[in-house]
Amino acid sequence: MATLWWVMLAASAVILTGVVGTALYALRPVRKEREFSTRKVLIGWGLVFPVVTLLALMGFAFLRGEQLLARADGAEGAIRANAEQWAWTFQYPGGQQTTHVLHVPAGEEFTVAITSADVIHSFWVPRLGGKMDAIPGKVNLLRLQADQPGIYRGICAEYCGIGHAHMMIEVRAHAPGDYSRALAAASDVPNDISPVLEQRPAPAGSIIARWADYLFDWLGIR
Amino acid sequence: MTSGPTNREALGLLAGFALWSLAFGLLYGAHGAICATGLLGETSARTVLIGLWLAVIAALAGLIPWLLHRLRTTRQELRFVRLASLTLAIIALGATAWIGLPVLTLSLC
Amino acid sequence: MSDARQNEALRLHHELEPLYSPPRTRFGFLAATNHTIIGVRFMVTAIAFFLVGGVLSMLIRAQLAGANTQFLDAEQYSQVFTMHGTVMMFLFAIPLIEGFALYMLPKLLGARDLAFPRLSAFGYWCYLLGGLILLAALLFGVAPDSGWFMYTPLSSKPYSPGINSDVWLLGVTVVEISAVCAAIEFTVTVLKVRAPGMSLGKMPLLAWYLWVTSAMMLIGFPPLILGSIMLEIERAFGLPFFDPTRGGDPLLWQHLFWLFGHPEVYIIFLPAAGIVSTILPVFARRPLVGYNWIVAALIAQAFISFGLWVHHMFTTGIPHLSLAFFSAASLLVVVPTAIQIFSWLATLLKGRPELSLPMLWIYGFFFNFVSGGLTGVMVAVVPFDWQVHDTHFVVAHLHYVLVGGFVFPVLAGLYYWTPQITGRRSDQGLGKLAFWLIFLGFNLTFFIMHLTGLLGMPRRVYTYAEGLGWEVPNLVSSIGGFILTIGFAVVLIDMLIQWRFAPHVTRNPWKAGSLEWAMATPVPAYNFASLPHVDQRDPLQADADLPARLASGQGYLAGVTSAGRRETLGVDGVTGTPEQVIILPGPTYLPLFAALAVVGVALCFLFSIYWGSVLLAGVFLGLALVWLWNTGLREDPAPVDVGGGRQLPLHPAAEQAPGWWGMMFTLVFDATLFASLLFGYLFLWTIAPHWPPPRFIEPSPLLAVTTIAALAASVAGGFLAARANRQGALAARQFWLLVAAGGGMLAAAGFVVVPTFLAPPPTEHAYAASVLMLSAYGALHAGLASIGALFVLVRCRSGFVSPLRNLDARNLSMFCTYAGVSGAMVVGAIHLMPLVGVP
Repeated sequence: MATLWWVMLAASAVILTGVVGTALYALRPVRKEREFSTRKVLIGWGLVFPVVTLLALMGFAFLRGEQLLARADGAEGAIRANAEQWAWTFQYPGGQQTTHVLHVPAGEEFTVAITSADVIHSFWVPRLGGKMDAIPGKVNLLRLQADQPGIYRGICAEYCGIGHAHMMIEVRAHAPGDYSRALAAASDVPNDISPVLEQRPAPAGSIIARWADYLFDWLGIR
Repeated sequence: MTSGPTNREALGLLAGFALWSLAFGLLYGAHGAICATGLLGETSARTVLIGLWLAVIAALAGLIPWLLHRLRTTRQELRFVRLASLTLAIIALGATAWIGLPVLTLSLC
Repeated sequence: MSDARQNEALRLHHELEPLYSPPRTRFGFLAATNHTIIGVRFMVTAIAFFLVGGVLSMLIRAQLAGANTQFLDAEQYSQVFTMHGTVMMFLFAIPLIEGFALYMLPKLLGARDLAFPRLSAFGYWCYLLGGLILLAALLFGVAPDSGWFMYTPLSSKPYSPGINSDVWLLGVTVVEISAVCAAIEFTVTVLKVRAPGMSLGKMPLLAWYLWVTSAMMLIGFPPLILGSIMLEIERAFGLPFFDPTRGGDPLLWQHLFWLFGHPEVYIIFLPAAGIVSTILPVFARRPLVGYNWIVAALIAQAFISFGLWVHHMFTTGIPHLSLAFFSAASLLVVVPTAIQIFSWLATLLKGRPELSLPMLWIYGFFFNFVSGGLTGVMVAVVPFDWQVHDTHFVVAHLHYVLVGGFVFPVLAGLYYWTPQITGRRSDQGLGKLAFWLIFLGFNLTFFIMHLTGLLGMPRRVYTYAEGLGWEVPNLVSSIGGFILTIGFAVVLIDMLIQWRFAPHVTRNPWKAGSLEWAMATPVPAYNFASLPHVDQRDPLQADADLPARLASGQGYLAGVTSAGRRETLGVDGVTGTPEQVIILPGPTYLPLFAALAVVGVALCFLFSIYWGSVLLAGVFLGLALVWLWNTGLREDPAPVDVGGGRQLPLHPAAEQAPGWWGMMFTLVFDATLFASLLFGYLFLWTIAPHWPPPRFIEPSPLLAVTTIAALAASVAGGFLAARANRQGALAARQFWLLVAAGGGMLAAAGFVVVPTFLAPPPTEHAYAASVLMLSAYGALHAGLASIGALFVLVRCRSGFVSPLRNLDARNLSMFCTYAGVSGAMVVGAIHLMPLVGVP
């Protein structure tokens, strides 16, 4: 994915420079009309160039997309991720349950079966892969792998109400030997996960609200 | 419908991309129905989709010469709209080929 | 101009100006239907809403400037970001385009007004009042707060119990009504209301762009309007369209919304591209390269843009092959865009461009829009989108394409056309300062935002923790945001100073070739004292004397006819051959009253006063009938001498009257709404969970057959009445109109019976709710067909309808046919589907 990003970025920089550069170049004064075939420009640059580059990009995109899809058989050993306003709970094939924290084995693929109990949320652990929406009435499968043991931060990536910014996930990847022990030791007690989002009152907003109240009282509407 | 070339020419202008829209709707809709009902196996499903795709491409391939003929045999004041109709039909053929490409290679459901 | 011509021009001016102006009474301005006035109102109101949206964006940037900031809390922030998007998309961008088209189209096309001036006025009032509802909600602290795209179930009643979401649904729908009216008007106007000789190939490109945009609006808005109605009914009455526990599906909302939402952004972009295509050649001092190419690219882009919508839903778990169709189409749409860009570049290279103030903005457009387009290509790649969807990367992308692709060209247009609107020229220094502040401020705000998104910051979070590396980029964006705001303030100051103090300029200071420069500045209410004959693309280029000749009455339709009414010419859509004289209505308060009725319906619904909604809907229907009554003529008119040796019929006696095309395009809108309804029904049937429903409707083939027979009678009645009218068989005409009315009423009853007696309660399951919606649709149309038939009957008796003046009968026939065909499909969908069973 990173390679794709750098290639697209480089190509974009070249194209942007080309287009804006050409437009700026056109400002240079000329004595008589510049000679070139407008038809060739329109066909060559307007038609052929985009078609060829986009075809290549599309081919790559399809291939990569296919490689990332969840496997149909992954559903069996999947870890269930239930989203609700505003916390994630996880249910493991062995029957355990945790809140906020997701325990996974490092170095092997695992599948998350994602759904929601109320509104649409989205499960995303940026360093492990792409995101997948949690939709009530539907179970979406996401195939991920944490290459190294460690802690990976995840978030909810679809606006789900006023607690949206606080809906964090902490993925703990354990070395395969330690995994079953860690899972057995895990409890349903929600842990404090970092980073902490402080909740402080918002004075500006309450000032505005107070003055709005004064205005309405004065106008007699309330 | 009444006299005056407007109605007919307007239809000609839209014909090419109307077929493209048909292709898109058929492919997306058929695929959705196939995956939702699960009635067809992998190969027959893909065959159906490719068949629909090629059917519309064939229709466009038949439309283009007809539009070309209409362009050649018209009076001056209708040249522009008939040229535009032909151009759009050719572009629509390319566009239909393009959006059908996924059907050839990707996993089905 | 010679003395004789000058005197003649003055005489015509004194004749025409009072006729085309609103009444000079105290409240006369409320009755204005003149497109110049309404266009300016739209644009000024849109700019006012832009300022509101801008203030909201400043609140967002202030809140996000640092970690754990305590400026706004989560609830307030949710209202702020929702309203920022809603105001910018619905109350600024689209209305600005509408206002611009209202103002500009008749001038560009060489006409005196649009096809349906009262509709313009109605559209404005609906927009203003609908916008004020949303604004009031903001002031009262009950603004919508589920995001500008209002995903369900968050925006459904259980999770948004307050009035906030209802405000969005009803307010936006009222504003959308305004947009649809404008769309119908523009599609008909560009087709029919042009100067003689202006064939399709000689139309200014801006007219092509606006025409294609209007056609897109006709097809793009119905899914949103339908979705909004469905969600509002779900919230008010519990019909479970989007509730997965009762057969609904949250994804249905997303499909309906984005079916609108994606074409919406092209609807916003295309007029701006039209502005670029207009301004760039003028300052490059040569005609645009590739007119034909651009027309083809434009139409292709319009169609393809309807095939992109699921790219907003790449992370919803839809199968990869489905996603691939939309990814492919999203990449394909780049090609027509590229053709336009290279056409512009070729024009610049072939010409001798100068970097005037409008051109500075065009160059800014190139940089920003192309950047946005390139990030668009990136997000069209599905695996990449799986990373950046719902992060600030997308926020950066959308601002680059919307601000770069819309706001920059609009500002170019502002500086380009203000001499035409006000007759004055703006200050160069202030203008250049504004440009650099905005260009640099914009890029500072949003360029780094791509990085913010790649660092993992999601959208719509009211604050963020320390230590994630998001503080610096956000602070930079906020600083950039304030610079951007200062830049817009400078533009505002510049415009205010200019309109008050700047020196007057000669007409056509840019030496442009299009017809809006062929009139006096400031613009007279009647545009042209006489109408031009056009035989090439830039009429003013070859014929510098044209404005003087037109002003002194040497064109078509010079001055006021003996009948003392507003008139303009209608032409054949393709060839531009003059066909008819279009009678335009004068000022009237009807549009205002009708808009008040519509807004009244929405407000009553908002406060759950349902009987009030029904009552005011009836009032609206009455007003609509009065409106329609004030059309046409009571006697067969004689052809009118329009000058140039031509005699043309008045439009009530013409075959291709604007009203016929108006009905046609209204039915296109209606058919799209119906198609969206059928799509929703089929989607729920096949994809939504918890199907089949616990029970289906009682089978009733007799009812189905009766309803279809009644519909057939209505169709036959309308068709045969029109034919009888053409043959002058008055008794037969009356008979068939009564048949049509009776058939419509019986069919309506047949539809009403289904949800009342045969279907399970609509709150039980989405199936029953859909049956109710379909029945309501069928009943509404059958009922309207019936009322229409009776209306035409009364019109016949009052002498408005004759074999020559046959528009009423033909329009009725068209409507009855539509009601019949769509009604038959409703009957099939309701009565046959239970037999098919569930997949």
